[in-house]
Amino acid sequence: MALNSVVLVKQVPDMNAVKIDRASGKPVMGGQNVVSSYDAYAIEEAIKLKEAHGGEVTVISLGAPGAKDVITRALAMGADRGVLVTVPDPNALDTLAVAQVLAKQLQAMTFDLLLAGQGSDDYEDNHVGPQVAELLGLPLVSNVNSVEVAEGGHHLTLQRDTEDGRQILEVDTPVLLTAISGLNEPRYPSLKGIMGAKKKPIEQVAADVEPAADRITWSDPVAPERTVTGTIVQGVPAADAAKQLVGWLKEQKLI
Amino acid sequence: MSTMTSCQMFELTDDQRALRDTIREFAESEIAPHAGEWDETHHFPADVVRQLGELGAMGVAFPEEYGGLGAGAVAMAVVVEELARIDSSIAVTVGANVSIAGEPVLLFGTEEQKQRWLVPLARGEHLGAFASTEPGGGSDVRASTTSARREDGCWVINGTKAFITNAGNELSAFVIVTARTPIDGGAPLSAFIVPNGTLGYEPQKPYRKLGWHASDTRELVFNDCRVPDEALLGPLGKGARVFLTPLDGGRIGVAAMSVGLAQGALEQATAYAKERTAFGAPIARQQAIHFKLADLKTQIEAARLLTYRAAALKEAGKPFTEEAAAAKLFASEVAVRAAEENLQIHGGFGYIEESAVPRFYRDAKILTIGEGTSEILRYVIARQMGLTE
Repeated sequence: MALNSVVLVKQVPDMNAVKIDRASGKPVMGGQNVVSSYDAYAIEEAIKLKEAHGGEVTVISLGAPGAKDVITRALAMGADRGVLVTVPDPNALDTLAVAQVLAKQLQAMTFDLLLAGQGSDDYEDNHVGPQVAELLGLPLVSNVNSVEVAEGGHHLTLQRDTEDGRQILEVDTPVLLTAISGLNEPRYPSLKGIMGAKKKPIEQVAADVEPAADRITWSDPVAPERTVTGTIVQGVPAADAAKQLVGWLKEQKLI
Repeated sequence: MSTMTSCQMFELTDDQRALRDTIREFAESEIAPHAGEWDETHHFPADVVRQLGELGAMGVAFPEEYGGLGAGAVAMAVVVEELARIDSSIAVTVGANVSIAGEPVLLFGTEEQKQRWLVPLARGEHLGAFASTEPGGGSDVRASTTSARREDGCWVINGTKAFITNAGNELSAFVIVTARTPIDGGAPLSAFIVPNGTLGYEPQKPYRKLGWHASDTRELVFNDCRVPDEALLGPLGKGARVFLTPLDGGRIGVAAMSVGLAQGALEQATAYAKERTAFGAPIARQQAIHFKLADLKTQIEAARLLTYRAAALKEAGKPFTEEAAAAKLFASEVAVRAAEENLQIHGGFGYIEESAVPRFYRDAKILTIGEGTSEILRYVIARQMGLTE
């Protein structure tokens, strides 16, 4: 029984390329925009389920017009089609506005499974997945680290880690699940996949809902100042230095 | 591939850039963290080579009908370049497999040989090797002494081959070997495909090399090794052609490795020069240092253009012997210079085996030797210019 999935994907700055400007404490973005890392687990899981059970994988992303890179990446990994919902300035929307735009689009689509990353690499609000589930009236299972499909499809056994253990849930589709690390190891797109990605369809649609006015405002992110400085024991023989260090650790009640 | 426009000689296409970015990402995350350890322990990383095969790196230039991508020789050069930017051993494993093992099967193989040997090679399921060089001679193929005689409807091969890449690891599936075959009173070379595991085909233990520690290089001994008629690759007595034709493409591969190694060395040197301070300022501010880096940058760009040009000619089906020789000659000498300047700029730290700097220095030198020495290449170019007779 085929299982059709839609994956919510967010385009974020490459966190490995972000540098902090020492003078201002502000981040300097560098490099390309990439797929948010939790979303990569969601994409991989959808493709694995397709490979095992058949069906189609659609990725949907909200972004500025032309921001197709993350969708192309998902297509190169093995997704079948993409939808880019455009708004003039995605950063001007709060999470609920994003969820409303996506939910509106998703209402016109058919699927068995909605997947999203647990949160995004940049803001880490962890809002959009749950909000979309609520808006669509779908059950939500968050922080999923294992998916099994029962014989015949449409009935899933999901595992999620909690603070004090592990939950195992059985749920019928349609359902929205959010992915965390440990769910799988996202594949590299094959070179053939990359060459083939541009032949796959990406539908670009302008958001047809009026995003709500800002309910949240963000100040510019600033790296915290370092207020604690290290102590370096030097200029004494090693044995004495070790004694001094042990004395200090005891003083601080650390050992 | 489509015909090259003048712009494509200077800029990669979207597809080529996408392939480059994927290989770069793979090399930086899956190869770079381990390259130092593999180098130190002379470890051939079969798993990573297999993963590269799964990505499709071995089949970039081969036709789709034989398991490849049909993306052309420029894309292949870009892939090899990106690997060498991080680890030359991996780059030569891929380069040799594609250019001198896969290519002869594509050019001279029967349909059956292509299905059996080329398709799995292009898909990354196994590796091939090419064995022509002997302890007594490399480019001087006439000095070759390995022989194949007819006996009971089989060919019986005897002899020793030297400096052979990819012949003895767990992914090795076959070697193409050249041998003298007695025909009409003469003994011209013929080429044979010998499967690994054939009785009498004995890959020896790996060499201990100056560089390329993580690549598989061995001597091969053929001791009454019997193969059937179907093992013959190309026409009987035309083994020199089977050996020489893919060599031009192999030179593009070594040129690409050279560009990649030089690029990696330049990036290491540039980062260090910005970070290392002496007399109160980063050493990059010193003219003695930034002139070196500016020269290298210029030379690498020139080497890259020569390499892509030779590859673009190959892709367009035009003659490229001279261009491949020129690219390999120039790029390999730039690579040696870049590796040396990188070490010089790193000073004492560059001499310590704790960074990639000494590895790049050791890996560079073979580039002016393998696939035709700089001296042979100058001869090839001079001959193309009509200067040698």
